[in-house]
Amino acid sequence: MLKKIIFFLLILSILIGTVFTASAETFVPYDSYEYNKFNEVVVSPSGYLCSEIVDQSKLKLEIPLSSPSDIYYDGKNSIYILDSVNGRIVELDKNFGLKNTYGNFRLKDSDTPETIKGAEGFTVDSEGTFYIADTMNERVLVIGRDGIIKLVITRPDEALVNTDFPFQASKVSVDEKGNIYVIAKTINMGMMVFDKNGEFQQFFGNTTVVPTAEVILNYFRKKFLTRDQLKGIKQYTAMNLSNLDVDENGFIYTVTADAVEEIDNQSVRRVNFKGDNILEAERFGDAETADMPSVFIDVDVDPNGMFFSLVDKSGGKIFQYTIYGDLVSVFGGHGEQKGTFKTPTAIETIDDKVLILDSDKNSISVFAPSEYGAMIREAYTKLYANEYTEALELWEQLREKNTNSKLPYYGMGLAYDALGKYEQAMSSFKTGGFQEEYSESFAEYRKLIISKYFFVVIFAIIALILVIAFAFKILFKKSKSAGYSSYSELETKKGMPFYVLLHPLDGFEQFRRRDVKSIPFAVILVIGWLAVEIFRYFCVGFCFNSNRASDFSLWSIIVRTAVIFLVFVVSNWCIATFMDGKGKFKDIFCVTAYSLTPYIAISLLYVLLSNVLAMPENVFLWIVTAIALIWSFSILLAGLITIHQYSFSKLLLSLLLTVIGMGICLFFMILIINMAQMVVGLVSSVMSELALR
Amino acid sequence: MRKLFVNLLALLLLLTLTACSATPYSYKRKEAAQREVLSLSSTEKVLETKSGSYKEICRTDSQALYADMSTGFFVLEDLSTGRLWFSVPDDLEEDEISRGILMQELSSQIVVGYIFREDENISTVSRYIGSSSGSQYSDGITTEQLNNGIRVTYDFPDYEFTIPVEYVLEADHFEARVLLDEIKEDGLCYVTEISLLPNFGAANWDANGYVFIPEGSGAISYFNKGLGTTTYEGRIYGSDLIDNAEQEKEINKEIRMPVFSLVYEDAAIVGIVENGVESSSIIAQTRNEECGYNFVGSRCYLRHLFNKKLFQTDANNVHSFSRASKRDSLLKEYSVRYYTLSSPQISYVDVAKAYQNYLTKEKSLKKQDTTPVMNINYYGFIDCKRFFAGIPYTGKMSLTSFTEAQKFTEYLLERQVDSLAISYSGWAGDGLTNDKVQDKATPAGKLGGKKAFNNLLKVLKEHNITFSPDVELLRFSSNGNGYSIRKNAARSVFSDQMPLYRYNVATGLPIVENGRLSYLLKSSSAHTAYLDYLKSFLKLETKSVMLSSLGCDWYTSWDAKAVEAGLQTIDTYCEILKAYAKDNSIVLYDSNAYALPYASRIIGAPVNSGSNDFFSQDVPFYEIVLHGYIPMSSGSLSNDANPELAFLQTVEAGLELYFDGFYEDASVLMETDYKELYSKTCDLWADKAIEYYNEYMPLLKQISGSEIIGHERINPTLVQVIYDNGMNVLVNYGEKAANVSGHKVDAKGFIYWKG
Repeated sequence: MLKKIIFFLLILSILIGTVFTASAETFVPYDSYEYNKFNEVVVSPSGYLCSEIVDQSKLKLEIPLSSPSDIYYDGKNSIYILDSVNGRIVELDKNFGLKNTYGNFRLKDSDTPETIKGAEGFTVDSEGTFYIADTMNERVLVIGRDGIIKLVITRPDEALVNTDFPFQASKVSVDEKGNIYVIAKTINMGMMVFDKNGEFQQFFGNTTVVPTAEVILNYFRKKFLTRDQLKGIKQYTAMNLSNLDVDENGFIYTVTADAVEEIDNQSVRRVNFKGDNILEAERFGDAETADMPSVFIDVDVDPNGMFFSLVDKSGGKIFQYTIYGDLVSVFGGHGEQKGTFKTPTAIETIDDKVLILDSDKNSISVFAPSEYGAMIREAYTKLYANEYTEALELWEQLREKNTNSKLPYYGMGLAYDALGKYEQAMSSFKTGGFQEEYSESFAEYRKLIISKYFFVVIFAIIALILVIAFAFKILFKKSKSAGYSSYSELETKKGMPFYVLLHPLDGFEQFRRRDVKSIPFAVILVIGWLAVEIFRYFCVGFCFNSNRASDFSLWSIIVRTAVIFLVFVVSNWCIATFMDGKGKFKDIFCVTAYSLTPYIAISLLYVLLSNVLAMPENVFLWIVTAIALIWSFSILLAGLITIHQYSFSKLLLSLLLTVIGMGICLFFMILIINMAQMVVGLVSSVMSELALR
Repeated sequence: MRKLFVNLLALLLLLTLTACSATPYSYKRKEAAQREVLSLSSTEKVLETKSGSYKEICRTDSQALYADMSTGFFVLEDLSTGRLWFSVPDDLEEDEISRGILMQELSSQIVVGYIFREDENISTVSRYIGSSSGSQYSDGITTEQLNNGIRVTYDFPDYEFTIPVEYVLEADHFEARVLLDEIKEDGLCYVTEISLLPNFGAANWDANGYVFIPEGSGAISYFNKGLGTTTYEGRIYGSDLIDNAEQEKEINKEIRMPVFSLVYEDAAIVGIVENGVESSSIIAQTRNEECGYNFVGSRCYLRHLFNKKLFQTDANNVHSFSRASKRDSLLKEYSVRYYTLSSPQISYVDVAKAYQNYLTKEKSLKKQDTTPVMNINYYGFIDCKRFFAGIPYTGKMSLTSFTEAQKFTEYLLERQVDSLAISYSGWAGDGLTNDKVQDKATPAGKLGGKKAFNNLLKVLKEHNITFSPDVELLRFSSNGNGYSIRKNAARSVFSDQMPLYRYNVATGLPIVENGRLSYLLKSSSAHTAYLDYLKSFLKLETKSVMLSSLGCDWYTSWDAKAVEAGLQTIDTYCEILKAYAKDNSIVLYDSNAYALPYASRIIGAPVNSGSNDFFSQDVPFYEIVLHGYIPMSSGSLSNDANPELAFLQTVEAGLELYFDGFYEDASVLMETDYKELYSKTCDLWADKAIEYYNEYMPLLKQISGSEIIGHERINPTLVQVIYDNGMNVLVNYGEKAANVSGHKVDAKGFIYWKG
């Protein structure tokens, strides 16, 4: 908190500005937004607007709805609501007119009605049979239209021998073959699959614990802990599923109720018949997880199979994604306005409309796409249906409707790419910040260029190789001593930085004997390092560069280069005095600076290469980087060993100590800054307390 | 605010258990007919009703007042129809739902909130509610007769305060006044709020009609709908910007007019808050499980309670601190006027007419002759992060230069879009950023300087286009020009300057760590700032000015050392408006009622309510009141998610069109703090603007000076509006064409005819 106050005060003194509101005409009681290429939230036009509220004043039920828990649309003309507290099912037509209510379910040959009060989920099959997850009574009921219970599924004890948990079935779904999928909120082994006769088949689609470092560490730690200590350790178990929906291709969407880091990429899954998740995207819901992680309690797939929507309990919001995991719209929120919810419980989609059941407001909120929302859905549909020309047109219109959005650039890029216009595709992807897609278009574009200007390209490559070779040749030639002198052309003050590139031991040896070191040159090299880092920040090719111009901070680059350099030199000098190093401060300074030369030179090559390589070829960049580092590091080692006159083992020890010294140095710097912050924070909070008392 | 109301209700329940061991309410059972007037003497009439007998106090041509001098209860008679309006429900004994504290409140004329004096400065302040039901506190009630009414003094002996209230008949209305100056509260408690006559005219379980709330454009809530949200409270003029700076973002519409109404099928009572508007809220309730009545009224806050988060050890352990503000010393009286209306078929249109009548008579609202226009607002320049040789600095970025504004205006003129009014934000000083408080009106050099500005002005004058530069001095973010954050920023009751945070749109929480902070100028400083600025502004000779924030931004400075409370803010605003109005016509944005007399045009008039669950339906009350008096435009149509719907709403309300934007490509905003202005580039909406202009202008020319005399929602998607010059407008929001008395209207379209 203190830190926060300090930070706040700092920001307060640095930042100036205004709060600016620009309101639009259509009133929407929630903000719509999306995430930009830097994963920051930005406002967007509302994709969905609340068009209607269906509540008692419209339904006119004799007994009003009371905490309804689930809603189901049969794809034709019936909407069913599971009215939990009243223990009945209400059937509406597509325009929300009341058609029927079903209650007083009876077993065959019995007159006493079976209560389903507290049931949390249900589904209806194509013949109109109800499947009810009768949560409180720990069973699943299959009930015909006449109200006669056809089948009762109770706890499959043979499958649950490992656990004592009750069978609190909360959600149920049924596939075309009549297999019944049941989620029990108390059991975390996945969905339970029953055949149409109610026989248990298998567990299916369980979430798995991802073995992160922490999980593995805890696994070992647990072996040494007492039982009491064990309680304090985070448990890593598979998460309970909270809901499911089956799409038209038979894939099952599942959501988990708990937002825990370890299963983050499993909070929403699309499971194939083998039980594997085939959804590519990993993050769903709000990116600001620290404030309020999204907790999904229902999922629904659009009838066309292109989109799915998630209900987030914690923010009361609805997130709609394409099946590839691209966010289409966010709408809703907690509130007491039309279009916001108290407790959103279930979701259902009718054509392009989204129905949200609110168990506290006892109503259904109907959302219809706005002009913008309808357009973005159509653009995606066209894109995925390979109708690229139409899609392109729509995406271009969308770019005009929402100039903040990265999505049009994605859509336009894909469309351009498919139409073979790679250059436009690249520029779209670049604007939208889609590196991988850019890289693919770039690779195609490069092919075109190469085939078009084959000879030019070959010539350029040969020229580049020749230039490098020539540079080396000159270096070799000049570092050989000419006949008349025992020293070569480069063994001078000015030439020494280049001489040590090939002859570090010999070159640095001369530091002690002759006046060949040049502090100004060393300083220039350090500044060169700084400059080359700035150059790399801005000029590395887009495939390998996710830096943001507006995030650029000269200070952080200075710290990363010049400050680290100085700390290293000082630390090494201190260590050298302890360890009988013969090198003077100036020597260490020059050696360290001179060792930067290969890194600086090769960085330029790196930048050049990064602009002509695509992502899969990044191994070349690795090689180049490795050469630069090894070369620079070798020069540094050779230099230090020479000027300090160490043995190799002593050198390694001194380097280790230098690094530790640097650590201590940095630690003290941070400590002092922190202390200062704390003092200021203490004073300011004491002041505010005093002022208020 | 609504949260607060819920809290209050919760406290009410708590009170039932603790503070109030009330004697059970007993009613005088009478088998009398509902109304029976007996003449005791030639001068004194007595009214016998179910709940007691009331003697006549006085009468005017239109109304008569009867009172029960023992309880202070009164009855208002509308003499044209003989309808009686009871100060507390007459048929309380027949109510089967209400009990306990709610029953006690229903039988009260005022309900008072208070805090214990000794609790004022402790970490949590509990607020209690006491009510003055006649029988419970019959000892504590003294009534005396005045010339034209009665004066009732409510004494709350347990809490040691007394509140005097006058109920009087004026020439054409009834008025209830709380004499705030004469409140005695030297003892145990402070009064925090007073709800005055919350149940006046309350509608019972059998009644048909609705409650009218002026939130946004206005909304109605039907009696006895009996489900969902059944209570409402909304601050008049919206919530205080200072008060709410650290709260979660509220997306809502504000109450712009201090008027409320209970509308029955054949009669209505209209309440207008006359004094204390700036400290009041409107409260309403429809019948629910706990209360059998539907009512609407107002509540005045004498002291505001503020919470301050001190520090937080973890998510659930927030240490906070409360403090009550001082009383607004300028506020001497809290008074509400009541007009009674009756006609065979009464609706919110009649309520609007009654309020319009009040505004013209009492608040000097005048009809203005203007030709209808399309309004355009240009954005000048913003600041942004720039780099010089890799070193970042804050630079200025032009969005629309004066020459570009001229170019785009000429582009429209060439396309016969010639009835225009132009306003310009961020044209001087620090642009849209409002960095320092400006003291000189100098056209920004970044946009072309004085020369380009004068050229623009000349061209606009040639085409008879009003040009209103936006003057916004309330917000500032750094010291300079003689103003400093320390000295001149409005402060909270804890004496700290409150910044206006930006909000994270995903979480709705203020961005404390990484945001630009701007402050609000306290009203005394705003007064000098605006008047100083005026001198140099007049030299520009634009003859028109936009004062966008003076009409709608609302805040107070509760700094204990120098309270600048609501009334002072309003007075300041009005003085500024008056000074500017002398030589300029004034354009306001979404204006509150106090600024109406000075406005020659209102941009962004509301066409929706905040769609609270309490409301059954939105009505364009704001427009019905002001249409034909002040030209108004809709909110911006330039980047609406549903422009077609927004356009139809504009047509329904009879508003002028409004577009805002800039010349630069909108993608330049992506790295700035002005992302809200997405898609506002003029090019992107020019075609739409021209299309709407051509479609709508012929109609607007015929209705612009006329009053709305009829507004009817024929079905959920079809609305008919009638103007006093005989124009009929039919707007169809539906997906199918519709037919009304021989007039066919296309899907998502509108038609109009005369006669």
